[in-house]
Amino acid sequence: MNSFFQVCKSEFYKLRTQKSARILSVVAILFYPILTLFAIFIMKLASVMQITDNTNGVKTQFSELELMKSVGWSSITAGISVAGVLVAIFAIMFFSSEFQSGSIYSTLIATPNRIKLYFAKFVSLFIFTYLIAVIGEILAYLSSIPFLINVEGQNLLLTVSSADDFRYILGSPLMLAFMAVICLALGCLFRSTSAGIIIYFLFSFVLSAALAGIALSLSSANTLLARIFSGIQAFLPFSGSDAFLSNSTSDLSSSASAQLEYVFPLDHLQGFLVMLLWVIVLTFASLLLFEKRDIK
Amino acid sequence: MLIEIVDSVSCYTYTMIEIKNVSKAFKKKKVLDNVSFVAKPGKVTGFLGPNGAGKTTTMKVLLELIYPDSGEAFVDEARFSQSKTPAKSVGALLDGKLMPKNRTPRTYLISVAKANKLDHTRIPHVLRETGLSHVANKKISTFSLGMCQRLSLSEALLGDPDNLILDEPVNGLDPEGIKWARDLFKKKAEEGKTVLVSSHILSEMENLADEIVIIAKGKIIKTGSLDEVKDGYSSLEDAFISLTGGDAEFKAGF
Ligand SMILES: Nc1ncnc2c1ncn2[C@@H]1O[C@H](COP(=O)(O)OP(=O)(O)OP(=O)(O)O)[C@@H](O)[C@H]1O
Ligand SMILES: [Mg+2]
Repeated sequence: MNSFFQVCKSEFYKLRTQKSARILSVVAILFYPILTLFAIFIMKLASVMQITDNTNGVKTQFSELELMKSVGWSSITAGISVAGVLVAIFAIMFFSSEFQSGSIYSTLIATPNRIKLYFAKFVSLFIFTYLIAVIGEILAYLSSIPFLINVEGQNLLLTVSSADDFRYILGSPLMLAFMAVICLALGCLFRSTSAGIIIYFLFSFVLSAALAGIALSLSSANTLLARIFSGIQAFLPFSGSDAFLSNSTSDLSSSASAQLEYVFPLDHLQGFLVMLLWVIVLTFASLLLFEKRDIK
Repeated sequence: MLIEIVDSVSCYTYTMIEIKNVSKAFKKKKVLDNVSFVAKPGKVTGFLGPNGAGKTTTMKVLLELIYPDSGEAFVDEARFSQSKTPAKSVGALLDGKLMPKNRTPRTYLISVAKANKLDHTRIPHVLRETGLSHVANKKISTFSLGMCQRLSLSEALLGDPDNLILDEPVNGLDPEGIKWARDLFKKKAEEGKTVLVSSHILSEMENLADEIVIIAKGKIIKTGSLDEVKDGYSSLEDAFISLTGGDAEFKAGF
């Protein structure tokens, strides 16, 4: 039987036995503890440095305890910044490489129902990337234990106490999985790894930076125009995940970015919805074209 | 005994390949023009035609990789994409070179088997059958054309399908491989399966095919049993050249 579950198993198997996906996912996982340890290292460094206030020359030294308290769940999940790029690459390749090697023919002969095949790839990639993030977080948490268990006599080990903590712990893997399925759609739409990767970089870095730059340069002259550009930037695919995972509290009025009048702010929920919208729109578009176009 | 007969009869009525009035154009260039034919169960049907005649395109239409502009293609009286057991219904070989280069035959066949819930013990079996056992864990990128072709064949055989759609399957095979493939296709037909094979090696076809379908410039110009097609000619090659003589799109010139 060529059931949906069977096809998922096949696609998951392809993913975990693909050498490039294996290497990239191991590196992605490792970046979680690496960035966590880096954050801890920075705090340790800051605690031994004196910070001089230039205006009055007063020297202040923050205590290690105070600094270490700022290591939170956002530090544990910071790895997503690098993992996102690595995951994007193999997510694009998951589809595009089949077109480029021509193995899409055999794949479609084994599973001629294209909708079934698409969603099997979608589901297996989603689960695969979610797991990458969760494993990364677990390793990051474990790596933080020796540094946080006893800071000046206090136990600073991270605990789960608020909804915000869940937003990081469970929401950050969700964002990584969203990014992956967006990239899957790019790979399927363009049928080429290089085209997919170029579009990904364009959307996630170039366009985003360009729009932010334009908004900034316009901000003093024309606030409305600046707000429009900033608004477009806020609705780019990966800005959604940034907003969802942003450090600011949900209370926007007090957040730093909202104080810049021209910036178009998204709160966590809105960020989540922007990501979800892109997932739905791109999945639908690439599914439609995949279903309709010839595989020549 | 009786059940066996009934079984074989029912299998004869259902497994077949049918193309009905299929037309297809690629950017205004008409590639298939009202193509119709049937490949019957229990027979090897040879699908012949000059380069660019539309053989591969026809096979891709059958596998629903390409959608026809008009007409229909059926495998076992249904569209292939509606099949609940695709690997048991159709085994296909399109082009041996179209393989995931960075995999091994074993992991590649496992992924195919998983998709169709096929018994994994078939994998060493088909690899042995196609002579690839000793390279089961080597990267496909290191394979020669003939080895890729053999791997494609093992993939096509994996589900022990009722229909075989094979585009130039002996391309790149050594003489021993060609003989093995010929015997295999004949055996499959004897088992009551439908075998559609395209090839340019007409002497080979003469030894293999029961039925012949000739296509030229996207049109079916002759169908019939091997003897009917050869009637009045000294060999299949003579018949083919005289039938398609004016139709070859690419002619060598001196
Ligand atoms: N992807 C494509 N885009 C445009 N035209 C194509 C495409 N694939 C095939 N064609 C055209 O369709 C026609 C039929 O090609 P096809 O591959 O079906 O021929 P064939 O009979 O298999 O030839 P050969 O014996 O050389 O394999 C050719 O004229 C070819 O140029
Ligand atoms: Mg061809």
